[in-house]
Amino acid sequence: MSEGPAQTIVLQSNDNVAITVERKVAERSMLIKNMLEDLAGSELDSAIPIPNVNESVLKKVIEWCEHHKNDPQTAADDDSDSRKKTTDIEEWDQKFMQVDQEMLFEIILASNYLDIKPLLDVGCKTVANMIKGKSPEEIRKTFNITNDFTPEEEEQIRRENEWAEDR
Amino acid sequence: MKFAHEFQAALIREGFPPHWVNSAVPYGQLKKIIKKVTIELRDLGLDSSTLSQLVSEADPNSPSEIGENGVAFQYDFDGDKTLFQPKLTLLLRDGLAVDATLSPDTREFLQKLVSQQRPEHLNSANEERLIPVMTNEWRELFEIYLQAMVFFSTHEKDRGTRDSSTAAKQLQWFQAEVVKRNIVESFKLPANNIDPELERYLEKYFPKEAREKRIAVETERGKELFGTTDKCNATEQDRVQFEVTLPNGSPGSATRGWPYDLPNYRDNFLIHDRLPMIALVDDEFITNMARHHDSPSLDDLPDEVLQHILDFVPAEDALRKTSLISKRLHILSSQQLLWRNHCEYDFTYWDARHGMPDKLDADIGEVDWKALYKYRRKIEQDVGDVLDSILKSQTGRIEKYKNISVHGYDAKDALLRHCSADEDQEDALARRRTNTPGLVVRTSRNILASIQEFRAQPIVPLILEKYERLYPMDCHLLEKYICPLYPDVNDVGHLDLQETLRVVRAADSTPKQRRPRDSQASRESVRYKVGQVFRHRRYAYMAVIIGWDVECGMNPHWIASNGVDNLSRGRNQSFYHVLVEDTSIRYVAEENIEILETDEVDSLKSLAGRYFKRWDKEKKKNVQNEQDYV
Repeated sequence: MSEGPAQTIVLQSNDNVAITVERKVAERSMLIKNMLEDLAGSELDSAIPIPNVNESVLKKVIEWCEHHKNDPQTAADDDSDSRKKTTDIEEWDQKFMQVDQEMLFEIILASNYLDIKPLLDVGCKTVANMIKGKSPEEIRKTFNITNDFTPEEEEQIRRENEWAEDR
Repeated sequence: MKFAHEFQAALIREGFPPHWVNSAVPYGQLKKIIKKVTIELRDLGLDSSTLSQLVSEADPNSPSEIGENGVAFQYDFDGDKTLFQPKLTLLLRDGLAVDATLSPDTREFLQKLVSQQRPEHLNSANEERLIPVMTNEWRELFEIYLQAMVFFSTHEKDRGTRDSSTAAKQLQWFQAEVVKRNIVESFKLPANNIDPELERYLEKYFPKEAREKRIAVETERGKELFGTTDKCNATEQDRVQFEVTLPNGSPGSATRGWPYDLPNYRDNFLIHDRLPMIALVDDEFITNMARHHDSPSLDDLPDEVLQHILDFVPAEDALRKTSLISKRLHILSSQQLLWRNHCEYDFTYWDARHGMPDKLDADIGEVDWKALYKYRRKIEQDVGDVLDSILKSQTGRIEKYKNISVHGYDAKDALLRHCSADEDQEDALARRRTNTPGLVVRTSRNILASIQEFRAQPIVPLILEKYERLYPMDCHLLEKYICPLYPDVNDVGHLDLQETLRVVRAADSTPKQRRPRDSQASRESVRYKVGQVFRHRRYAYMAVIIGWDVECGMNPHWIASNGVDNLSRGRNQSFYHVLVEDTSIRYVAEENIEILETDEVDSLKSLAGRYFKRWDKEKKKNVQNEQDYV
């Protein structure tokens, strides 16, 4: 148990920028936390490379972890609370997520890769809220998705998904 | 399917770490994977019957002769025990599916497939040539990467500990292997040895002068960007992102970013010129590229993340919107796991006939959760419609309540939802009110069952009294469950019951009459209005006015026994029918009424819905339900 007062570690983005963070903050990422636990005992003298995540995204993710560093840790495989499906997002997170779409997707991808479940939830909820109240065509436009249906296929799915259909 | 559970239990029993147990491929998932493969093949026009037909015609031992037999396919595994690649090869002659036994659909599909893979300009030049979408270099690269197993293992046996140093070693091996096999070099276009066909193509569509002019322009631009030409020829580190505009008129010509290697400018330029050709090969690929470069797309996210997003999308949107966006989202929006969650978390109560506990316990593939969900939503909608029509018209309600109660517990969620109707909703009170009996329907079933058991007939009159006043809508339940309990149809109790039911039925089919204040007496002497809440001056209970008489309308016996004449204003004052908080209905003289100027009284809230649709905050009185004049 070598818990120093404010132990720090260095993370290195894929564009080779080293960022020093408090260990507690970095451990919001289950990936990093598990890795540090596996390495317990051995000296950590070099930066931890975070491939897949560039500097601007990594900074943003660390900003989130910093703000939430004292949140109670949820159990790793506790799926039930996210399944409650409230799409409410606390105010700070809402502001945090006011970024352009590219950054939003990057944050989601990074939190998925780094295994930061609450952040992944916030990101996914943000996207889900953007889907609400939009028509399929508007959703395609918003999220830049190509419609690969023929009109007939689209009509068929529309019919299939009516609930006026008895078993 | 219990196998998955037993398998998991066995793993836990044998002390494997929990995260291993979770990630062991469960039987159900395996089944799902197999199903996925089947669907993928079927989407290609290769359903199982077509495949088995083809396999019978193919002679796996002499593949060279397959051409003679027409169409056939070959299926084999490449590689060794630890790393294999399933491969399905369809063999066609002259690019046509010639076998007459193929169904017309399949033949048409195969022909389409062939013609898509063969761009026109190549058809004339060389019949046999196909342009591979994924080049061999890439394939080789991926194969080495898989062999290196830097981050994961694909086989079961190798389950020792894995640490970062091993991974680093593997990565080094991978990099060394790539260098050794000279793969990086193979990606580069030979500078001086240009494919004659390509040269012909370029000459036809993009004449040499035009190209050279472009090179000059782009070089100028490069100078502007980097100051000097020297720098352009500088070092490896000077790789930059550069934008090159494609020649006009080419399909999908647009400004695209492209890794631009300044020292080998000309080679890169050839790649750009080649783009429209690739567009002929795979138009979709190019549009996707263009799309990716323009702005980020939701399509860039992996399935697992999209699934997670869909978890937060309301079920209705998943059916009506996200599944209509694209094929990929349609598949993701239709996954049974998603619908299992909706079934489990969107609804609390399920009728026993569904056997929900068993279903939730079963393997995910065993239950059509999406269909089940749609079925439940249909009930929700029906219940909502029936409730609306109950509120709209006051006749035929017994039948309507019966229609709701056939759904049993399936209707409970919908009823509860209406119970908690928004305060602001026009008829919130009435909705809440109409639902309570709906719930009582179900509890009464239990009560009735116990009556049946104990033959406790003396309590029937008690139930009847309550029923007639508060729950006339449960008529059909009494008819169905209580009536048959009387052994003798001529029994006095039975006849009484029949009579009560008849009266209620009659009331149910007759609209109630409104009694307007049309006489001068009624306007002058009746001071209070229907809907007002008051406290009884003497007994202090709270009640709401539901009707009135200009003077006491009871018979002399009642007047005598209640001492009406002892009141200070006697029997010739207006009297009111009132609904009291203890659910009784009483008859009160005006002088005993003390109107309350308070907010809505909680104890009356749940009762008032029978007569009123909402509480008017300004006038401090209940607003009548349009059709329910008392």
